[in-house]
Amino acid sequence: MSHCRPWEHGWSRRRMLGALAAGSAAAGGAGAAGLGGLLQPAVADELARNDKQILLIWLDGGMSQLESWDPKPNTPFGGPFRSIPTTLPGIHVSELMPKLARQMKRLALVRSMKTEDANHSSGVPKIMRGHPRNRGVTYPFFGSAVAKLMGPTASGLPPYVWVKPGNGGFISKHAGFLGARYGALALGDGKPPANLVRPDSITSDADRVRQELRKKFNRQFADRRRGDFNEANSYVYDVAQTLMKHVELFDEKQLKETDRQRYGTHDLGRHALLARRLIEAGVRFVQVTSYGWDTHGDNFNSHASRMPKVDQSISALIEDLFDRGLDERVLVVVMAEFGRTPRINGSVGRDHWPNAWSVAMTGCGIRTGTVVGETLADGTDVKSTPYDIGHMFHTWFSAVGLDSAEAQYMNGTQPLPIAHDDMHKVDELLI
Amino acid sequence: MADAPKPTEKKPPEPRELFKLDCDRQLMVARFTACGRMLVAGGYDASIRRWDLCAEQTVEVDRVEGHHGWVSWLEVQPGGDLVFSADTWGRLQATRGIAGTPEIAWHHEQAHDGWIRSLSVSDDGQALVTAGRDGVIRVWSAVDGKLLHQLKDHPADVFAVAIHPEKKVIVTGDLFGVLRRFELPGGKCVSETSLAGMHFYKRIQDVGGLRLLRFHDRGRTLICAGGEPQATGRAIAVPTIHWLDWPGLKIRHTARLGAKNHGFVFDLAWHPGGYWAVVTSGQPGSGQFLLLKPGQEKPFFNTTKMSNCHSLAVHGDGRIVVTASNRNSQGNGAVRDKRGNYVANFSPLHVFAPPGSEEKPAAG
Amino acid sequence: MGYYTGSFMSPDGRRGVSWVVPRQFLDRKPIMRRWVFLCAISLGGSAAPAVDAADESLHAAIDRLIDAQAGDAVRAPAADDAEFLRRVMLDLAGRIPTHIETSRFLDDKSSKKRDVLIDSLLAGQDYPRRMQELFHAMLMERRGDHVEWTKFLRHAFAKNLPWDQVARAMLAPDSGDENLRGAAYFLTARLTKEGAMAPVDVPGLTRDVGRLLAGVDLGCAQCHDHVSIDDYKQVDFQGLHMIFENMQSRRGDSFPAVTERVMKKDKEFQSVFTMDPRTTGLRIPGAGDVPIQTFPKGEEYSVAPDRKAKTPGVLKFSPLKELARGLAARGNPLFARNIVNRLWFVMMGRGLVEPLDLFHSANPPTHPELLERLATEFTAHDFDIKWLLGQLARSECYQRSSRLPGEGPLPDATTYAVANQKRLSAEQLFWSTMIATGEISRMKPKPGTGLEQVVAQTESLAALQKQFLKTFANPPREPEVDFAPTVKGALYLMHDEKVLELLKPRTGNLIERLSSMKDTKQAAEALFLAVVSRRPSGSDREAVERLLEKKEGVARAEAIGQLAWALLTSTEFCVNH
Repeated sequence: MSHCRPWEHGWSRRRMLGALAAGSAAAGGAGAAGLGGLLQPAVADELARNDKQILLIWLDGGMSQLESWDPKPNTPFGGPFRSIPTTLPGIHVSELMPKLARQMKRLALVRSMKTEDANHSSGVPKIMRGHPRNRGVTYPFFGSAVAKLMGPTASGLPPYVWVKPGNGGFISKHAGFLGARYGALALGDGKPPANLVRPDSITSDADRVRQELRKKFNRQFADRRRGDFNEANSYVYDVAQTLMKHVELFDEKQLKETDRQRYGTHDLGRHALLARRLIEAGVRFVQVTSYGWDTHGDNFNSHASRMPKVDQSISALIEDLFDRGLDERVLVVVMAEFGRTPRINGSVGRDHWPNAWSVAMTGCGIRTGTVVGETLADGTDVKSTPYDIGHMFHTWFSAVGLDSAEAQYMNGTQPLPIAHDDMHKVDELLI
Repeated sequence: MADAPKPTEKKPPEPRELFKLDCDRQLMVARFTACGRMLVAGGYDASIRRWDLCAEQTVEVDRVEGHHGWVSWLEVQPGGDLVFSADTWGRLQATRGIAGTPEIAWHHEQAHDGWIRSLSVSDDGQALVTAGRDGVIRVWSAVDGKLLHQLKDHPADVFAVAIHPEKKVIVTGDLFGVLRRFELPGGKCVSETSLAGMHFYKRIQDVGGLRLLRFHDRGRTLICAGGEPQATGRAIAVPTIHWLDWPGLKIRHTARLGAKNHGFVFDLAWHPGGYWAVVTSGQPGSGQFLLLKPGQEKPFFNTTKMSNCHSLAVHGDGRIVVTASNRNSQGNGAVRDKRGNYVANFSPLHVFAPPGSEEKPAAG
Repeated sequence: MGYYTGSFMSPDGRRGVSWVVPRQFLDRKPIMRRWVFLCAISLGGSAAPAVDAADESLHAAIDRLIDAQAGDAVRAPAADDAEFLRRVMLDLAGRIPTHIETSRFLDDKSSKKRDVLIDSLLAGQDYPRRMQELFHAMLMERRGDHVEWTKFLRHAFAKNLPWDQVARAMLAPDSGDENLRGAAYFLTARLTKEGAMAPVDVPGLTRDVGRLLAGVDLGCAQCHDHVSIDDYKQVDFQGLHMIFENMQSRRGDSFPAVTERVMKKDKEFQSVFTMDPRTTGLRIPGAGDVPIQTFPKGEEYSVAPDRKAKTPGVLKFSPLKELARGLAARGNPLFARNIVNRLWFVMMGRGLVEPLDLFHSANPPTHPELLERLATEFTAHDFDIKWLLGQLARSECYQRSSRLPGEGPLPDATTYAVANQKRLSAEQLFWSTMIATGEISRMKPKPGTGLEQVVAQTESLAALQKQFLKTFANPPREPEVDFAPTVKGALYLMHDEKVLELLKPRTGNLIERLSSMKDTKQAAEALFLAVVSRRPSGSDREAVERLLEKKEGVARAEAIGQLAWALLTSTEFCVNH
């Protein structure tokens, strides 16, 4: 057809977005679908200039909002701890986070989170996916979504890196319908991927020679063939080599002792410090996970032990991001799949509580020094307008320059909104 | 020996539950006053709760206010009229006349910076020692609340403290399962002993297992109780008691009172009937109340019917009270009652007649 | 705001028409939506002139129908012998040819050599292994493996059992047949817990049966009618699901097996949207309703179960047997379409319907008539997979080059005017690496020894095989459809010591053989024949000559190792092109 109708432009523009990401975003484990040719240069430039990054701190199992962001001291459900004033007048947080209390002016807090799922197994993916409306497809986790929508930064580093305790690997299931390649490159205990270091048996000269030969053979092969397979295959070697150039990221010996002490030598401190360095190196989306927050028993001793470590490492991280001016382009989010019940159970624990919990964030156009929403005096429900995770996804996408009301994924021929279509961004949270 | 006939052993007598008291809030600790007239308890509502045992029917009487957060510990003065209570916001309080018209004898609003985890009164009732999350240990004159000694710079969160009957030594147990001995008056740390197993670290959480220290047998035995933790997040442990020789600190006897998925010994008391009465925490339904003869590894009585247990006290007449947690005390999401109210938990107090007693059960 | 889109051929078959309708418009009018989709499909049906099927072989029909639809698209020439040989070996033998096989084929002057090769591969000893590996990855999606399952697949393809029989063996396993009983693993592997917290995923099994054997993914219709696919109804899911809810793994056998309970009544369910209570009997994809037959108590079995003898008994009404009978049947259109589409995908690199498991009226095939022809003839040939693969391999469409000389854009993949590139499975990659590097010949196997035996008997190679599978296979439950190379894979080939050892001179291996060649031209030829199964081009030769110039001894062997590594990691080696 020679004449386009206006609505086809709308269509193709969305296709372009998908195509771009497919062509360039192929995540740490994988290759590109190679539709880059469809891309309009202007769109490419626009997205190439987008240097926004995201750092997600995930407190798996559910941190207690009452022992952190939304304390209710001296109330029936308040628990044993005191609250302390912060640098934001009138705003108090738990005594377990004195350092973050001093950083409060640099943070935005939502105390009116009300989400749906009180189960870990289904709750974690729901929150991670922004719990969009059910359209019969498996949505990507936040990191995979960003890997697809924004691709790697100019650094060429894999766009979605997950620093976690335990094993590493390539976690493709996070990608949902986007396809395996948008999964997470997981660095188990912050350790580099297997085989990152070139063995002594290969000199750097020999490596250069063989890589040049590989490229030469590939160029020859790709000539007058469809390019997507070769692009994908070449891309993973490029990423591997880019990662190798950053091998110092994984060398803890290179860390400044002062940094190590500021962040803490525990897992969360070490992983948060690595996250800062990954962000500095140009990884688009970094997730740091801390496990074990499911404090059904002895919640208060658990938080007494855990919270100071969160306080230490996250406050150090925020301090560094602001000192380096990275807050202008790095969105930081601290959250879990839900909070914990006000009711204190018979094991002196708190159970799962999606009904009224808190999320903290900063950077990248988030209005700092803001507290959005409030809970009832005894913490048993949201008092103000409740926000679901979909609202947060709209807000965060907006912060990094994605119009979540317009942008869509394509799943085959099925267009899909990137965040819940009944929800919207929270303007109060944005500059 | 499998085929050998089992000796017909007479089942040892068991305690019988006499009645149950209701408390509308959750309790951490309960004690009988020295005079035996009153049961006093502290818990999540920042007050001291009182039950008059001499009334025709046991009734709860006015609370003693003044605390904040949780009343975390409470002890009565041996041979005296004072009740000492501590809370999680750092207040230490001595209450006089608790069995009648209570009056605050003295208090320190900031005896500690935050959670006072443990409080111990000397056998002569003249000194008390407190310790808490701030890592400071303080010795107070029981009569007027004057600070006698303070031991700063304890390297960690102190969970348990006890003062030796001769008042020349204090022992502490910390989050890491380390037992320390300090000499008074100088406050010098003279020994450190790590109780292997009474600490667990995983996923940025230290779980402390050394929760209770008690001198016994006129200071010739030190009891270290708590548990050998197995996981984070769910507070599960093998409930454990060590009996140590004093002053040699050699473990003389150990009782492990449950499986890996139980909890911690939260309280214990010597019963004049010649056995230990012990309560352990656990997952609801696995908390135990048990009676254990000295030198034995297995209790001669054990019940888990109270869902979960937090404290116990032995009355002068041998009766034992156990503070428990209500059943169905756990649940994700907004658990509501039939009227739609968001419900809090509470702590029933179960009163037991000691084993072998002839007393008939009576209504509470 | 979004749009629905679709495309169909114009009635003269010469031009594609695509249509786009605003989503809002159709979403508000479900009747309109159905109508638009149906129109699109019906129009798509007649793309090429009809020919009397009886006179035409299937491969000729493929080329006629493909050709008609490709219209003006520029066609690539036929693949040269080397390209064809490598492709067909990978597809039908699961490995690249040895350098000897390649030389022999290239030097063969017979005009019938391609047909002869296809026939010999289909009859060869690699075929059952290749098919077992292919169907294992396709049907189990890397959930794990079982010796009995391997035995079943090997048997099925060695005997070339008809596909309906194979499918019935999986759906209603017969534990009395030693060769076929392992088929139960298809069911039992999906009835295991994935972790302490994860329950057995019976709905997942229901979904997989639909996906893998009928090409319909009913997964999203479990709790309500599918929200975006009109054809997928909740009742379809529930009527299939009840069969698996009524079944469980049988314990205590060394082989996988299942048992069923007596099914007494219809299944009750309701949509989470409408909360409307409904009931259904068995529903079999593509075959519709099967009423439940009930018998008086005590008369449900034709052979009663015996607890002492641990025999499960024979049910008079076995839902699994009903499913097997209804699904794997001649009259079931979904059954034949699904498998021909999957085999088409294996050979041609693209499904006529994609995604492979989303057959529905709003997702029509690119070549409707072709799909019907394939399904009909496959059924008429008694579901003979070997025959079908032979027909596909004989088509010009299959034998086209993946390279298009000249200039201008490459035609769309759905035209098949240029051959599509295909992913190599972890198995294909491993066997090909073994052959390319001379590891197999290094072991000097006795004539007639299969590749597998050589590897199984050599500890280091068996370990390497395990590592290859771990590195290059998808994670469990992820279909291996797209080409998805990974950084992990790249780093593995770059740095793993055991991989690098393959490229050091050892008696009898590729590097040693090439190092002993004084003539660089000869070495270049041997290298390319061994690794990329073709003779080197002029610039290939130059590259080799430049690198090997004046290098002798260790340095020369090292340089040959670098060349071989570069070829092994090249896209040319890593894909089937």
